[in-house]
Amino acid sequence: MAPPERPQQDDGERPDSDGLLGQATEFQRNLRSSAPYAAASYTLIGGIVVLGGLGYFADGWFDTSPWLLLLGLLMGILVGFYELIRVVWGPGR
Amino acid sequence: MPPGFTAADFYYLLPELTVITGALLVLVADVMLPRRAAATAADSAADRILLSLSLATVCAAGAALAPAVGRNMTIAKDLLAVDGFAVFFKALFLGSAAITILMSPAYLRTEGAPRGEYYFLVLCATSGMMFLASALDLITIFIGLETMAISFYVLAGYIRPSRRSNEAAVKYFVLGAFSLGILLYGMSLLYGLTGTTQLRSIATALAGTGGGPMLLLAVILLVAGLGFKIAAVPFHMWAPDVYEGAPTPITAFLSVGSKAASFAMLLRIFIEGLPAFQVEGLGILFGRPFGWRALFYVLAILTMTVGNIAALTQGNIKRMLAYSSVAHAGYVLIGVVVGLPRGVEAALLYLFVYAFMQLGAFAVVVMLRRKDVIGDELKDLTGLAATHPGAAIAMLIFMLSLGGIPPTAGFMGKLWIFGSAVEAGYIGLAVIGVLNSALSLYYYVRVVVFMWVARDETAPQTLAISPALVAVIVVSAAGTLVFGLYPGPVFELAAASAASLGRAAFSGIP
Repeated sequence: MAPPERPQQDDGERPDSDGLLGQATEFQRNLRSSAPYAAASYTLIGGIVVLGGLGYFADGWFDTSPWLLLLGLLMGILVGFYELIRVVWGPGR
Repeated sequence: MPPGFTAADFYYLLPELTVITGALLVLVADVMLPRRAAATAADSAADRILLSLSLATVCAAGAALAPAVGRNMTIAKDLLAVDGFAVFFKALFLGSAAITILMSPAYLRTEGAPRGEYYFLVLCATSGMMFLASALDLITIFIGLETMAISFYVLAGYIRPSRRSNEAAVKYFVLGAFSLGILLYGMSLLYGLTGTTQLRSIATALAGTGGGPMLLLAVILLVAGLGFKIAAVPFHMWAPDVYEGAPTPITAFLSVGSKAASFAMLLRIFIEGLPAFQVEGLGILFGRPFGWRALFYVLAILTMTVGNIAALTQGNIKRMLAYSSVAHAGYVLIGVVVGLPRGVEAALLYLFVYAFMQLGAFAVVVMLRRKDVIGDELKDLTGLAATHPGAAIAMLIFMLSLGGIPPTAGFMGKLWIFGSAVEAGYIGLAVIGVLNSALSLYYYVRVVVFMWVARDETAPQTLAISPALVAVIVVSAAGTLVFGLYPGPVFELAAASAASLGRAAFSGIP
């Protein structure tokens, strides 16, 4: 019994993607379409690093270690994941 | 005893002999047991017998590996090595084979594929890998490689009614045959240059010579052939299609076992056979004398970057995991560039933890395959957390580990690899590696999001959960967490295994 088949996945089998130039164009297209996702990743990391860093320095000023650092990290995680989930669930699905 | 053989040879070859004997026994048992009929009691008993036979073979081979622990010698007239490096990889292959075998029965039943030849081929591939890990001679390496590769060609196309599977097998076979030819050409040039195929003799013969255009050509061809097997960019084109089309347990075994075996082969050839390769006249590259390291440096950067970027836009879990496994090969290549001792240690460690995460992730994908649904799209994961929280949590652990988030084993592996790169002065590689790890977070977290946040209105899922599959998932998840929290034993294991590599080779590493 044949398993259910899906239509052929179109991963570079377009008429204009022959040869080296076609491969390069394909890669470029891939890069461009992956931009929002890459942005979401770096937002996550960047958020955690920046907000965590802010928390760390605020700790230094207000002498409340390590709570502000933890708060900063938590905020970074929340913000980063919010952005990521928005990208996953939104038009970039 | 035939001339040239000694009893010691057979003693240390027992693991491989056990696997081969077990494979033949499974094949014979499959013929003698009743043919597959509609789920009768006799049929599932036959299933269980074949499964137990295969597992028993793997366990017996593991036990037969015990005498080889702690030794550092060669057998079969310097064709095979019995050292920590070989034992490490053989244990890894046997473990992956056991997990693959455990993942398969329900999947095979759903697909309606014959079982006996499946287990036979998996065991044959394992035996090929084991020869590959301990081979010290170019021809022996090639034999092991071919055994493994042919078994995988057939296994990739195992689901005959599926066009996808056939396509995967043909692509893998054609590209594999070409690349093996290139590899063999490189090996033959190496033989022509040195007059011997034994790796340590090659190292001795090439010592003190400056290399030259022939050696450069040989090295380039070797890197090309090996690059295909580890699916490094730009030799990675086969990976997404083959990983997607092959039966999921085979994809898992391919991405773990075949990749680890190819890295073992790579490390053996380059660290044992060409430890001091330098080419005169090509001067300095990246502040160090040009050698095969430079080739792998470029390969590592390309592989990590392209693998991660391509995975960002994939909607099919298996394709995504294929590109992600390409990226992980890139991280391991960083360890190869760094070389002995830290880099090889890190590479071994990474391959070890990578096995757990990858097998676990694919086990969850196996779970999604049901009668009417292929189950390897991202949307098939939706709502998994609501219906099967255990599997969702396990998948969460695997995804976090693959992304390199503490406290998982994947984080430890990445830490060790990037740490060794920084220690050795390859700061650029480490930075690119970290940036790529950050990039990869997106597609790993996307899986988690689909499992937890996505709401689907379709009917509740009834997944094919067999106890064996549950065991696989639990073991993989446990391994991923335990080695992340307590990585000490694996560090020592990897260090000991890396130390035994290239003992007889030069220390004049550029």
